[in-house]
Amino acid sequence: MEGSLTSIINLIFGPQHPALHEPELFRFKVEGEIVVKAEPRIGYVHRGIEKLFEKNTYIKGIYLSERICGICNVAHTVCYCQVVENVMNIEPPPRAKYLRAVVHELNRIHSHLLLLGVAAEELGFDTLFMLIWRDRELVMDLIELITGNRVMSAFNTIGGVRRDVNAETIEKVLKVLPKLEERVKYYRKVFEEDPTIRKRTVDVGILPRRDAIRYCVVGPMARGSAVDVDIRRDIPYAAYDEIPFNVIVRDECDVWARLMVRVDEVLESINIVRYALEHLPSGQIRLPLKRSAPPGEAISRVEAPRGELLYHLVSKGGITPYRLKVRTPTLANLLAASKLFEGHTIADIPAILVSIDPCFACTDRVTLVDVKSGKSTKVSLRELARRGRE
Amino acid sequence: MESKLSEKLKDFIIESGKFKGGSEFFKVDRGKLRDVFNALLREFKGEVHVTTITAIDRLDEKKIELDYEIWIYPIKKAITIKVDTPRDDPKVDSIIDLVPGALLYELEVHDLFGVKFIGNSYLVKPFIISEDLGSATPLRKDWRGPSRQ
Repeated sequence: MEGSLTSIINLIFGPQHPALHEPELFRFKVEGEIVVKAEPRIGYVHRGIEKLFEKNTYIKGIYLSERICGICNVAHTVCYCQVVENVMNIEPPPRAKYLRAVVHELNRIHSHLLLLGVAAEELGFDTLFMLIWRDRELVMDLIELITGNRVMSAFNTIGGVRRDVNAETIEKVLKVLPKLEERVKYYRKVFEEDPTIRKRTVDVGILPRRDAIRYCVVGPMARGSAVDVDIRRDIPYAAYDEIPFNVIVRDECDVWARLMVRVDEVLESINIVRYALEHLPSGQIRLPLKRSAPPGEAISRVEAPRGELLYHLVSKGGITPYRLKVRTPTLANLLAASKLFEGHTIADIPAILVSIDPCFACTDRVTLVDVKSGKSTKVSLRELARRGRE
Repeated sequence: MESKLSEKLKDFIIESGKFKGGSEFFKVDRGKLRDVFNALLREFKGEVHVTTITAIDRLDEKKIELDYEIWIYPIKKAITIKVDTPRDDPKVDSIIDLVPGALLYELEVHDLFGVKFIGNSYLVKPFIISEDLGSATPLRKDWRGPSRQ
């Protein structure tokens, strides 16, 4: 087809604000309005953090890991602290493990609500976007109440957590949860029943279970394609072995399924927070800080809001790591994501992209190309979203 | 199931052990890497997930170690397959025809450590690092930054 009168156009999508206001570039080959092929180009925000870990102490590493991703910073610090604790042969106190689970879940609720709001905006439902983000503030306030910070929680540390909660704080959190739960149940009904949302998301961007496994996808993207995996249940960490919760798995395999998995996971997270605070063990919240680690090697996996997050630490003794590998979930999902666009219209690109919940700052890394003329066009996500609504 | 896994891989394992924290690793000869993946895929009907490939520059041992972090769905178990490759000519067989999801990880290790994956025709450089770094392999231990080379 290329070179003929009806040739392919290159539509450049990014790298400025391609999705969720982060730098990324996708080159979409389009024939008319149909995407023939999508190629991601990653690396715009690669900051060499793995190398930086090798130059900084284990203590400084906590703050470095937190800055890999602002949205899911708690997942990063939980994973980092766990891998260092494994190498140092220390086990955080039970109360610290429960508090880690509480803040980890509040972080997941805020991340999922953020994405669901952005999804509503990209689908042309701006009111829903504003309502969801309004209610997300309830969670942000709870995070601030417990950790002292709205975004960068600085809550976890090697050997436990940095702040305790008192009875008054627990009471305040438990008072807000029913209100949040009621709102999320309403949003669930909207995503489940609204005809416009269903029309834009049902049977769009289908990722069959077999492909989800072949392309090694993780998190809500895998669970939306009938892959039953959740690190919290499969390799329990923090207090997840003691907290009852359901793993949400759907078999529709489309954009709608991926969004519904996240809505239901928010409800599960609310239950986890409630259970953890009602069953919070007494005792200390951290162990005396160790500064150096003996030689050894360890791996830590956690279920971040976007999926499995992995840290692999190699220590040769001393106060700095010899090697620290970080595998963030968006990188795992990017390859399969590129396949999802094929055969869909340009207007479907934003809906498919948000269903992946990409976080390019932590992955680090779109272009549209006309198949007929070979022309490349740079289009912003906002422009694409506008075309989708027209 | 653990013993079954060791049993299935017994022809390939040079060394096995556990990381601190409990997860198991198996060291295999780099020439047998594809055989190991073929055995795992056959045993678990293709439901094998490659989480990532961790490269470790063992400078004093003059080798680069590649750790294939794997998740096996049917038995819900995480394992690591380790292979070594010489630092001065790092090469290992690609597995992207067996597990397509490993593509970005092979590209990343090639870009940051200079390891060649034989059979992977998509290897490009630079992939993640900025273009002005050219052929640099910045995560190797002896890389001192562009101004100090």
